[in-house]
Amino acid sequence: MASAQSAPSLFWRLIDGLEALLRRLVPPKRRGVTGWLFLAPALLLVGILAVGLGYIIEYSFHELDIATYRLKDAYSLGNYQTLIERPVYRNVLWRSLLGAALVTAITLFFAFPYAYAMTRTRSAAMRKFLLIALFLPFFIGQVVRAYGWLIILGKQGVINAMLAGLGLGTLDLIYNYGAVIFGLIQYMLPFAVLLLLPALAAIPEDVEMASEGLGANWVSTFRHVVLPMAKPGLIGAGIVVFTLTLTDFAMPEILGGGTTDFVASAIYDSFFQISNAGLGAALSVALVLIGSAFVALFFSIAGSTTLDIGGEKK
Amino acid sequence: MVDVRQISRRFGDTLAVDDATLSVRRGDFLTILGPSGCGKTTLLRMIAGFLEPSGGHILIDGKPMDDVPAHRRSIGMVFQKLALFPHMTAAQNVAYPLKMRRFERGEIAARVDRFLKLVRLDGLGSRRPHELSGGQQQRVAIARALSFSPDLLLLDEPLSALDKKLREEMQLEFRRIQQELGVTTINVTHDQREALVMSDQIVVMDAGRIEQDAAPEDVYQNPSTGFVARFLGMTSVFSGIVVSQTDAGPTIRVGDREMHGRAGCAFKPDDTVECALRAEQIRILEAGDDGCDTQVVATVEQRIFEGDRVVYQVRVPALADATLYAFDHDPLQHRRHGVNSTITIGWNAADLFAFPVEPAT
Repeated sequence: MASAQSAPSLFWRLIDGLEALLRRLVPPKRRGVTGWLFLAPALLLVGILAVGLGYIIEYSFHELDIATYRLKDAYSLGNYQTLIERPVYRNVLWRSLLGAALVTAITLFFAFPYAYAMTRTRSAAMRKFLLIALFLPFFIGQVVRAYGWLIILGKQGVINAMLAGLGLGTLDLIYNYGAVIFGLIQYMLPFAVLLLLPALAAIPEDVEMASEGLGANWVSTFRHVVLPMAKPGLIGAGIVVFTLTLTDFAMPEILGGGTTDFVASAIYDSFFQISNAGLGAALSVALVLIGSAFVALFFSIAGSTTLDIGGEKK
Repeated sequence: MVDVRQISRRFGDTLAVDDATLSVRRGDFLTILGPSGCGKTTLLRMIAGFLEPSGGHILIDGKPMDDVPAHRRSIGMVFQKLALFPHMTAAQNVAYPLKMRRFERGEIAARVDRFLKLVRLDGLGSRRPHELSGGQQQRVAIARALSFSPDLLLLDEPLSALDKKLREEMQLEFRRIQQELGVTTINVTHDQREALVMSDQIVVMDAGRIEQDAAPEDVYQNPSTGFVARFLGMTSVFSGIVVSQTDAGPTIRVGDREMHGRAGCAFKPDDTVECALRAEQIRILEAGDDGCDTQVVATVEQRIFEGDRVVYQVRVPALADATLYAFDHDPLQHRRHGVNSTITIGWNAADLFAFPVEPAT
């Protein structure tokens, strides 16, 4: 028997040798440790992030000393009080939250049919086209894209030039809330589609056919079968789009032109324009808390089942 | 009750279903039997309304279904992969068609109860599909397909994924439920045993065409084409040349032997034919036993013990070295014809079927 088999190749003998070496270096009893070792880089990154957050929280309890332009040594809740008392911060926060909610809702509304079409189309060419159209925007940075919109929508932009050419006068298409929301939706759409794709691909076509055969028209099938089965994907995509929008900086800055700041702009201004690190830190902490609260809310609405997306269904 | 008239379906260049015509009587159980890719599932999906025929018409209760979408047809379907709704409990699955068809609340509850009981799942209504076994999921699927009392039940190979024992159990279970409710049923399968066990009527399909449409006994005993003869049962096929043809049947020369056979059509002398013999119709003869019309000497090539029977694969020099299969149904006799031993086998003229040679594909 053994003689009939050809001798193992050098490669496999090398692998065997390495395995034997590994067995001697790491006794089987301590095997569990190696798994954790692979997690170390990730844990390190999260750790650094946590330390940074710690510093931010610490800063947020020190008020700015106008006389020296340094943070006072004394701990106080003054910065938070400022956030609550000054209407400008309440407005910024409200604007960010409303924007995030709007962008999330509209993006999901548009992403769903796109992702659905991608999973259901029978034509390979069509699927390829949809995939390329989806990934192309990823190659173009957010800032470049925002400037692209400025060129199209600006006072002397393509659309206004066309309108003027037709004698219809010009429109204010940028530097307002609508432009920011529009730009954000355009930016978030590929993320949402990408996150919805696996959820929709996991719905067998048979199930939809079964629903139809059992007497449901497509509206009922969508409401009672497709939507509930796509829920994990919708929640996942919703959370990502919501948090990305809530913390976005470039779109409100460029397409809003300083008129419609989101929280991130306010944080930037606090740190670098008015040099009030304490206030900026307080804004940051508030943003993290509010964002986390909303994510928690999403999950509680979705129910615990959403969390075992990848896990074995019991 | 269901009339399929000259229906065809084209996918690109291939004709998946080619001019198929069949009809089912009310309350009957019809099985469309054929190898995978023969177009049987396509045909079923056209009856269900999930696919548009390229040509022909489907009538249910005399009404043409041409413009009736699937959700307006009164058809219950059990899918190959069951297609249960995973986010609903068994009871909610069964209630789904009732809700979609706007049954009254009380009626829904009563029917869910009744149909879960019918499929012997009482008490398991609150479980989700993934908390049920394969057989139980089958039962949910069939209860869901029947709860709204459809005119027609379609089965798309729902049993093919089960292991043999459970499959045979569910075959009898499906048949029991079908007869209890008297619902007209069209079943699709590639499993000849399933077709023979469950059906009132069998339609055999190959390459998009209907080969035979008859009762199970007829399909088995009087196959109308060589394909049907080969597809059902364990059949030996060898070719011969017609010597003469009488009303009783053709006389065929195979190798150096001439023998009588049976045929569905009349041949002319010198026609080349395919001869088909079922393994159970070949007898292994003991010395002095000559109850058969035709007897030949054969060499055992292989002996396969299957528990309740022994299958012999033999080579017959007199029939131009044709390979035949024969059963010994009585292994308890401890006849042990070893490989390379010589045995005498025989059969009756009525059991030898002759078919025109099919054009090579």
